[in-house]
Amino acid sequence: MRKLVVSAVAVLAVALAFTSYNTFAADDTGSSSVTAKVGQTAPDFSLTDQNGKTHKLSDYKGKIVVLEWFNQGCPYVVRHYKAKTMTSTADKYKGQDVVWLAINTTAGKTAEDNKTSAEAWSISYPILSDTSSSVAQQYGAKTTPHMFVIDKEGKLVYNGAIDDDSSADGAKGDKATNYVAKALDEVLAGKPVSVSETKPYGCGVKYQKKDS
Amino acid sequence: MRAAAFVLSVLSVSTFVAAAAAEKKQHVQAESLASVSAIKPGEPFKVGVRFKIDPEWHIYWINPGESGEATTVQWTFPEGYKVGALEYPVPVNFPQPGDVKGYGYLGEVMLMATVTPPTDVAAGTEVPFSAKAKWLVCSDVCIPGKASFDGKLTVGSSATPANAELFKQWNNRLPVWDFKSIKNVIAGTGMSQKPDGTIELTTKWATQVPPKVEWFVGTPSDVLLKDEKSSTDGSTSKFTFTPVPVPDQIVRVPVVVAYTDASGRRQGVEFSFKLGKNEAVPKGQAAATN
Repeated sequence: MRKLVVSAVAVLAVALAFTSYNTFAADDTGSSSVTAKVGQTAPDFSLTDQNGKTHKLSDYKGKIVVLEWFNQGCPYVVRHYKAKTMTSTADKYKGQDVVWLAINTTAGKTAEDNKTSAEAWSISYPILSDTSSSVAQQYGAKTTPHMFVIDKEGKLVYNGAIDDDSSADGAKGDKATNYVAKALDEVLAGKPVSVSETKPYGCGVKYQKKDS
Repeated sequence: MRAAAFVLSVLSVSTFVAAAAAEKKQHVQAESLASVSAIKPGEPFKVGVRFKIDPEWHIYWINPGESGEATTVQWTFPEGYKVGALEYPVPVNFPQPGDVKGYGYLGEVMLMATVTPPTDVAAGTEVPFSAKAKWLVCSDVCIPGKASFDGKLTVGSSATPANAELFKQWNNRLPVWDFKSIKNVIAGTGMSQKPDGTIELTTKWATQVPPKVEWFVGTPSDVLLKDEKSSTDGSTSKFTFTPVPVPDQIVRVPVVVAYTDASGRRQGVEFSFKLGKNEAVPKGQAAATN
């Protein structure tokens, strides 16, 4: 009898979940607010970092800029910071006119949280706060991490994953192909970026819920 | 929930030696089950891992959408036992803040596989097996999880069913791929590819397009679906997208079309198409494929 009740409750729970989604809009790109496109000028923005300093993308014209969507609570971000994927890549290219900016759109995360993460993970680059999600929407940021590379002329040349190891536990380890490093090498050599778009992986960007 | 699982395992323990074990991890309780307590040689049976997910949390389909990670289960049986592909019930589209697409399951789901035993195995033989489940459960945060189970079945002269209601319930939630059985609903499906790489999938309905049609395309995890659009053309539902990149090796991509039937129940059909370089793809042709 209890088994039947459990099954019924489970079915009811699923049914209730279904009905609340019957008004889900027909599948569409929903990308009307996305202005960033590979091959075109990357949208400018102005965001504040964890120390109160304002950074504009246009401040860095003439340099290569890497944007990294960040959420210190996401297991994919945590494993990359433990493996120093982003920090070692940023360090490697620091002297070559490459600016690395982390952007945190996560609802509820503050500059203090970002300061704590920067200290804990020895992050030397700024963590910009985008909790209003305006920049995430312009860029179409989907996951943490989600990477964008912008060349010296301000053109978006890479949009996608940090590498080809999309599992939560990072099974590929050292054998993973770092798409950002590859794109940076090609931009620095004056070559076109061979892999300009990949599917990003990770936790969904935790945009603020509209109703809360 | 725990009490129910205990009651369940006590009721079925008589001939069912397999551990109907349940493991509670963060926000997910996973349970290993089989559709028989005794195996008949040569007669296929099913195994399943049932996931009970906390309210407001979800786990993912084979293609998780724009974030997340697929739920997977791997079963290991002794040599001679063939384990079929993982069977996913029809997923739901769960809206996530920022319209980040997510496909998967809320509340409860059982992923299954069909196991075909060898024909030449003696009655009384013990059949140990193991199941390894991996998932990512998300709400405002995401937590990876896994569970391992060890079970044991016995070979009998005839198959003894177990957990019949549960397997019937979840078999009914699998997408239908035998279109003959639903030819009063679906007239056919098709796939065509344009020179620019855009793929168009179609489902022709036997009568009219149901009120709600959802497309789920099971592309590999490293393939991005760009410019997804669903539309209706008469009694045909269409779904177009551009895959980036097109895999070098040809893969078979499952497509699940979910719809609401005449009685208001959510159903799904499944077909597949081949995606990869150097594959001759029929252009502009609607072909019924399985």
